[in-house]
Amino acid sequence: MLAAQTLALPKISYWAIAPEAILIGGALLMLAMSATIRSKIDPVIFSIITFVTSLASIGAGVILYINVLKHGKYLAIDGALSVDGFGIIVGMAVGVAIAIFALSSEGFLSREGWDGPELLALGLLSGTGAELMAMANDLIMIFLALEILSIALYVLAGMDGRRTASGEAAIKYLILGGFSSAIFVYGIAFVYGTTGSTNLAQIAAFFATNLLAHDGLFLVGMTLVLIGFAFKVAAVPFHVWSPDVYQGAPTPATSFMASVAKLGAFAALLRVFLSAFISYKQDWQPLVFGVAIATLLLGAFGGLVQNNVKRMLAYSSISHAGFILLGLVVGAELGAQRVVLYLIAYTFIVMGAFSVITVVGGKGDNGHDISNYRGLARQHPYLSGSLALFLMAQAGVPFTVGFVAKFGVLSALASSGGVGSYTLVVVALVSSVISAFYYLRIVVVTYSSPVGIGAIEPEPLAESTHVASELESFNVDELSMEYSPLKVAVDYDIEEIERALDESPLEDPIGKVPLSSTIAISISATATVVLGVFPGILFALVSHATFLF
Amino acid sequence: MASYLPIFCLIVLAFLFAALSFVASGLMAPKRKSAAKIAPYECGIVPTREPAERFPVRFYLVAMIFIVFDIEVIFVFPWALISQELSTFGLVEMVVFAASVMIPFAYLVSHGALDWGPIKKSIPQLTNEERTTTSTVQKISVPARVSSDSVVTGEKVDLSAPGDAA
Amino acid sequence: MEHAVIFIPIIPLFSALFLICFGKKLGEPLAGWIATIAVGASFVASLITWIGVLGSHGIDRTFIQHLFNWLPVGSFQVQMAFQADPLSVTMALFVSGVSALIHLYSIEYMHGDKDFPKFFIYLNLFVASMLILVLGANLLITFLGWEGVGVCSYFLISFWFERPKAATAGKKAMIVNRIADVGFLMAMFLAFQSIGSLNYSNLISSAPHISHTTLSAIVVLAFVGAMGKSAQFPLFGWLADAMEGPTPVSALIHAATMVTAGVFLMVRLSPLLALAPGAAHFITIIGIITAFVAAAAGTSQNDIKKVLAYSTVSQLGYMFIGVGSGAYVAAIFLMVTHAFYKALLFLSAGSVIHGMNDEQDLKAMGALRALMPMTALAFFVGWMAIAGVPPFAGFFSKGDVLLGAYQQNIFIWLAGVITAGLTSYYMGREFCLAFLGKRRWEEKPKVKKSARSSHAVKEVHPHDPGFKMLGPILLLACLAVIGGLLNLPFASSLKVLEHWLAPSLGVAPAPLHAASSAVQWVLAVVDAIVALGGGYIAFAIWSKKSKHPELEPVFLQNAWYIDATGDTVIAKSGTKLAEISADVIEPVVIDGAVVGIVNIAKFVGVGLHRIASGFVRREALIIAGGTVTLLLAVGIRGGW
Repeated sequence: MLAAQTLALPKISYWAIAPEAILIGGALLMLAMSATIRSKIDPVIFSIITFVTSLASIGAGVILYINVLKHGKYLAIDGALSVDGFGIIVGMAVGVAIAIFALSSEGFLSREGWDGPELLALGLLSGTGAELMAMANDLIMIFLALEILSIALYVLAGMDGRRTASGEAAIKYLILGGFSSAIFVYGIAFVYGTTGSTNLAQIAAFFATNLLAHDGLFLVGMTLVLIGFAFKVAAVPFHVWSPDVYQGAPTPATSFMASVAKLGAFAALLRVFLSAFISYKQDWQPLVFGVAIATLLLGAFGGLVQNNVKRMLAYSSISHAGFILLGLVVGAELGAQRVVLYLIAYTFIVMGAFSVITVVGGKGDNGHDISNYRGLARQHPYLSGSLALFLMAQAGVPFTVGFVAKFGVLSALASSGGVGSYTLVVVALVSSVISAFYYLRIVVVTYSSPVGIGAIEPEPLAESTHVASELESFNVDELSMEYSPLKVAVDYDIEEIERALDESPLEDPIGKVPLSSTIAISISATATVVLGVFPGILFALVSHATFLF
Repeated sequence: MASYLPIFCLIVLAFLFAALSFVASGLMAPKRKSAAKIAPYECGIVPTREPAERFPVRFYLVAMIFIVFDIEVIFVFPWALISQELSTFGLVEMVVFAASVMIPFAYLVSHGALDWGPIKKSIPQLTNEERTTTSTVQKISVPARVSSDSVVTGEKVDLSAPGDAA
Repeated sequence: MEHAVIFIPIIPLFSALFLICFGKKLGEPLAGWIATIAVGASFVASLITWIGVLGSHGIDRTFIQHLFNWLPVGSFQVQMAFQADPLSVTMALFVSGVSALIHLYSIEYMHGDKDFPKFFIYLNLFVASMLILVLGANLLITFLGWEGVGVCSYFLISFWFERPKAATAGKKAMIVNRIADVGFLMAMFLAFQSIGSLNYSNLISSAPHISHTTLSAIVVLAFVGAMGKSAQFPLFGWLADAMEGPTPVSALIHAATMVTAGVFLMVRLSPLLALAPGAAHFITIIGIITAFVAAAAGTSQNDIKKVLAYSTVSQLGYMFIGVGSGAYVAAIFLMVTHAFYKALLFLSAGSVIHGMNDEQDLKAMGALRALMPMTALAFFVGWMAIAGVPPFAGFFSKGDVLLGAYQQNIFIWLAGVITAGLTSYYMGREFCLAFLGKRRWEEKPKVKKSARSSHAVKEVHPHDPGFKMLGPILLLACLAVIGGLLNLPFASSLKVLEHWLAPSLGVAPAPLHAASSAVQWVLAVVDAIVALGGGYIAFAIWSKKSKHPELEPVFLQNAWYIDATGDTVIAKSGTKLAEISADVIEPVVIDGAVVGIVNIAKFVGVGLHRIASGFVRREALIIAGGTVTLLLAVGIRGGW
């Protein structure tokens, strides 16, 4: 019965999936090594493999990119992937993030005595998902890629078996992630039901020729899809998981969530809404508008009361998500290009910041309280200096790439001149000023005196009992007034500190900074400064970040 | 939109029914609290001993490996049916697929996923002293069960904030 | 050939960057040599550029090298561009040339200093800034260099910052300059507002079309900036204090180069200045006041370098007299020759200080002539040159300025001539106190307050320095002798500098009463007599006895109390204002606002905390709530 039919095989373009295939190959290689070699393998080797793999993936991306520039964009694998500038550039940014991740993980693995390849292999697999998301041209493909990305991340979050917080983070991320995935798939179902296709190109073509008489179900589907993405990128109010998970997960895994997961999710979000759903721009724009405002404000305010640096950066990454959503509000191709620019910039500064934080965490990965950063500048001027650079970049200080990124998005928004776009610009600026407060707070602490030396310990503000009773888990004590830049400078008697330090040099909880971490930080810092001073490079690159259709 | 009206009515009815039953039971049911009733395992009988032994985690591991093979079979079976038509392309794809399943499987086996019996490799650094069976499994003592505080305690066992651990 | 212009500032800049990276490793004396060679290379580049500019004629001698668009902000377009024209090339030549000599001198002078490489970083950076200043093709680039030299001057004055006086002097220089810079900035704003460009070429071409008042305002505001940098009355106090820096710094910055930046700026803007006679008069008056007041103050100083500092101020006053009376070439001529002989004087003074183990008090010197013959000779040449004794360089350059002043107003000329007499007198006094008379110092070692230099605790054995110090001194001495050749007044064909600079300068209105050549001869003779007379009086009074309190009144020692007045009127009241700000405004008004904002933020943050409780089910509820909200929002918009 079956034999009568001939099978129409899709044409597989292996070049199109080469960047992803290389990443999977690297992961499998490491697993195979771990399975076959009996003796203990130095984490350095796994790091090098991961690093080389990610470079190879970037290389494949470059070849693909040149090919696209020469011969134009095309659909691959039966329309499931769209090989275009946008996808490839984001994919290469993912590759860069993985490369830096590989470098900064090496020190972490050696320090913590984790000898397996799991962290790095899962990183590569997760990165595969992100790269696929960037290129996926089909809602099902996006969902698959999202799951490849997420499941590896769930495991990454829970890898630190010694800290209960890590397990909690994993469970929390898993449950809420599953919840949001369900919402996402539900949305896809609605979209399929109303348009008859899950392929983005076909959905766009459908709307080009048809007008839905009753578009209610489609709108529901579209909203649910948006929510699915909003969860992944931690946009308010779907961000609730992120501070806890960022804090609990091992620091390299956190850096991965903050960079790679957002790269993939934002790329897919933009592609879906700017290509397939573009004809419903009138309907989704207000939603994104509202979500962006909420995200910007919460990201700014939420970080103020945190005393854990990883939590603080979680709120910072929420705030960044708000900025990136502004690019979506712009809506046109310009917006997409500025988002890509933001994502590239963000990759460098966030990976750099987390590389520093990984080192400062110290053995046990516990030293993430802001008090652990006191006196960092004295013991590790390079670490504290580069951390200051990354935080300044996140705050958007000129001559860093962070400024270029924010400027790019805001100028696109202002020039779009849509309803309320100026409101958004103002909100964004205000939020970036507010968030600068907690960035600076970390910087100030690193340059203040080390713990216990001549420092007048800040008196905690009177604990608000109603909060404490409900949440013993959080330390809502001193809110930044004691750490405020205005105060810190006068609190210490420099000479006394010098004398005390001469008498008894402090023991250094960080120890020697691993070479690989230094390289990771240097790469990020160089990119932050160079791209900040010569933004032309970035603007030229993203001018090719266009969609296929 | 009119065609959706029955569905809408049904949804409303469903919600109403659920809500009304909830409210009604709250209003009408007699409330006679006893220590046994507000205990977590509230089925009338105060347990005299702990429930049956826990399953080793290994069971779940085996189950998951089984599922992996299950899925592989789901792929392999249709391929086997039309492997002639698919010819070399199909073979290559299937080899790639099998390899990407088998390599992680080899990894699992080499790391002791199928080792039964006493654990050969102990990994002491993965656990710390704070995490013992007595600390992670909370027993509810008799006094706690009697006092009304135990409800709150029960709540705390839930996934509370990670800050707790730190 | 003109394309070499960009190498002129770039080479010292890169050398500074290189020394920042590797200076410590190279150490002494390699770092010094690299810095010196870099500035020498910059001088060669200037020469090449000069030859290139010589290749064209007249108005074509202005070559502008565009590098990139520096600040493209709407209609505000600023190019990073360097301009090679006769004026800027002249400046570049003498700045890089004199600087190279002083670099060489510093290698020996700074020997043994623990921050030897750092000193040369600053010096290089300074030279780079100064060259950017003179070569900039628009006001903003000039301002960039202007601020650069200001900063380097701060670093160098307070180079020995362990000495409280040096640190204070550095701050004072910075602050006074900043105050004056406001003038420069406002001149730029006004120029941009009225002309729409900051390029010199545009400024000059559109100057005739803007209103006279605006033009005068621009010029006067720019002059306010110049008053700070060129230490004009009443902002000259910082220059005397700046003598706390190492002597090569005094020579380089506070005599030869930086302080002339103000004069350069006014000459650069001379096409505008020529159209604003009122402003020009103002400049002349400030110039003559400065020249006289500083020269008088110079007669009573006991610090070997302070005399030279006030002398510099006075000479700068002369330059502004030249600028104000339309004798732009004379101003530049004086600037160049002054660079030669003032650098010479400072370097000789440095050699004395070096030989005397950091002693700077003239009253504790004497009879050094026999011990340091070469230095004494050099100092003597410097004295003759600055006094304006023919045929030394100063005679011709100062003569040109005075001629310009005479053609404007005979009283200005008269004041200038009296000041010239004073100049000759105080320099003679300094020479006599240091080199003649009786010996007033001991050989036994005394521990100086700065034990920084390695030679600070040795016995005092005054001697001529080694070739690295003596070489530049002698070269400068030759230049001070023959510098007048640049612009001899005897025949039109001998006025080389005047013909050369003409394309860059504005044409001042014809003088009210032009002097005939006979009158010019008379003026020259009067100049010469006054110079010689002043010198003779000094010699007669000071070569025998070192104490004449009646000739050193306290108010002159304190430079007419101008600084003290400024301190009382401005600094004290400023301090009071600061105290009020600190005690009242800051804690109540600003802190109140800040605390208020922080409290709001805290309130919001704590509120957010309560929501983000960390319980999974509550978080799921929030997500569900968000979903419903968004769906409702879509629904409401959809209208069902």
